[in-house]
Amino acid sequence: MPPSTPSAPPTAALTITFDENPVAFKSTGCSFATPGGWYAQARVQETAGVAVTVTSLTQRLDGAANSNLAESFNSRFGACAGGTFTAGTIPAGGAVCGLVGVCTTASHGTYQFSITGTDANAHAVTVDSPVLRLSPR
Amino acid sequence: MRRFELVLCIILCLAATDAGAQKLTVVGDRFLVDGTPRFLTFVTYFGGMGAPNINQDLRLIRSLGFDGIRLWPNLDTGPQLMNGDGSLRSDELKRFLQILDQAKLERLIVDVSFTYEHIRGMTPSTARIGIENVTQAVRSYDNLLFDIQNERNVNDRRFMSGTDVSRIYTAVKAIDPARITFADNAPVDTPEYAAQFTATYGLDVTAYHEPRPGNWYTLPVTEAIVSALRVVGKPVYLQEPMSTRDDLFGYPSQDRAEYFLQAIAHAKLTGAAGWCFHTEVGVDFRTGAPFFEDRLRAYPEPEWAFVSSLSPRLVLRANNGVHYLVAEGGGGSGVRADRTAAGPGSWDTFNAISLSGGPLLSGDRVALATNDGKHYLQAVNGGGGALRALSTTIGAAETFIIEKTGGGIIRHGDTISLRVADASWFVSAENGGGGNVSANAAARGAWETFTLLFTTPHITP
Repeated sequence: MPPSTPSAPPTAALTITFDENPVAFKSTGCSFATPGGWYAQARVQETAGVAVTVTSLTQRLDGAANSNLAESFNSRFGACAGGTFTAGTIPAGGAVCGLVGVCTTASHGTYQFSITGTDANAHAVTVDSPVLRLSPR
Repeated sequence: MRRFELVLCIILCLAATDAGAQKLTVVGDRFLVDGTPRFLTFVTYFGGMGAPNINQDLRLIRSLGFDGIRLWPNLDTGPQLMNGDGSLRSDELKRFLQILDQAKLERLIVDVSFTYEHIRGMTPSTARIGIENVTQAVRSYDNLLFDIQNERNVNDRRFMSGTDVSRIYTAVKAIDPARITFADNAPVDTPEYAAQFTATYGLDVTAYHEPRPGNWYTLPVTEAIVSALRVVGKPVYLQEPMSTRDDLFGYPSQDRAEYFLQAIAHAKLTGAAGWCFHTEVGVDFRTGAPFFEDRLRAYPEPEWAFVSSLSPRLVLRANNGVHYLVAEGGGGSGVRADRTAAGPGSWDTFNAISLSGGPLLSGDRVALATNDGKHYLQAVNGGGGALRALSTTIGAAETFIIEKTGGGIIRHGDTISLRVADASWFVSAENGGGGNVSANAAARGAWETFTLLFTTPHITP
């Protein structure tokens, strides 16, 4: 019987979904400073059983990183309903949730975000969300 | 039946006691609640004896941010507490005590204002008997103050001489020396007269009903009145300012919350100890909506706009002008200053709880509740380190002094700083925003200043 070779440690797998896509423009409820905008609930689910430590969040409008949306992962994502949240972490087999999108008086066509980090097995992890299509105002 | 009522009374009394009812006292010219000075904000609930939903009404009043109600237990729009000979009506007494018990549970102060003119056959002499009886019946309540007679100086059925007021005051004190007792004066006399009346008869509070000119709410008018009333060194209670509406008179400057927001802020700023929102919607519950909330909401201006302002919600924009303070997850975790105006959500909104009472003034002690409604901003270890939103109670580490250069009323758009109470640490957004927030700055610089923006109705700058 040949000696078994140790299997490689698994890599975290992240799946991102929106509760609404395309998303309609809403004239109220986006933020205090800018009431109108496009926003949807995002869920980032880890499915491989490996936790991820997040190092950066990038948010893009119409395909380009937008400085008006330069925010941290911790201030944008938190616990999903009924769950818990550890700052800077997507738990193994767990999920984080957050309201994403853009509050604006301008017109845009798409929104997307990316998460970069390192999983518990020291693998670099990068994941792009699906493109969130912003319906015409 | 009597045994049942006794058991019910004991249950109610125990429930009220368990809630840790607050104790109202007077020291110098301040009201104290549980030993802490506090500016008191009342709302008129004159017809509460006839209100069909007292429990819900008082819960609403507390949740809106009021400290107390002004109740007229002898008003003729509902059950009246007294008979003409001063004896108390038993069912009405139960009703009255039910209101007081519920107020106790909700930690509300009750201004019990007597109006002997509403009781058929009552005279100042029998009013004294009636008030003595009430004093005896409510000795166990620490959250009350007695107004012996509403507008006692008006020369109609309301009139009660100074001598009669003095007799009743003495009678109340003989039964319950701790009962805070006074009689208010209407603007048919000057504030100087009202102050002198308090001094002459040794009353506990100077309560005055202000004149109602078009500029009644402005700082100069309020300052002149309050400074005249303060000379005798007793708490100044602006008990019946401009009414929001009136069936008889067409008063000016009463149709927008803005007037009332300015009035209460100026009252507190000039040293008054209490102020009452004088709305007529709680006078007569025989007709109209049965819930006080619906009655207030029926008037978006000034009623609902004003009452929505008392528990202010706000955002704090960091000095870089771009980022906002945010409680991660809406509370229960860290605090950063990297929310943007373009980012959706409300984790950047905080509920300001004024521990000093009333509208926010520079120098007030505040706690900031996070958007989840469960947590408070907290200077870890009392300052010198991180700022987090982990605490679920308000203590020294969750208490901040809000300050602005030049002092005065905190207005929408003001530049403010937050200093940890009982310490010298300032809240600081690293690099002026975009990153961490701490409570570790020993001095106030640019990073320690924030632009405060109210999300609830506020005084127009």
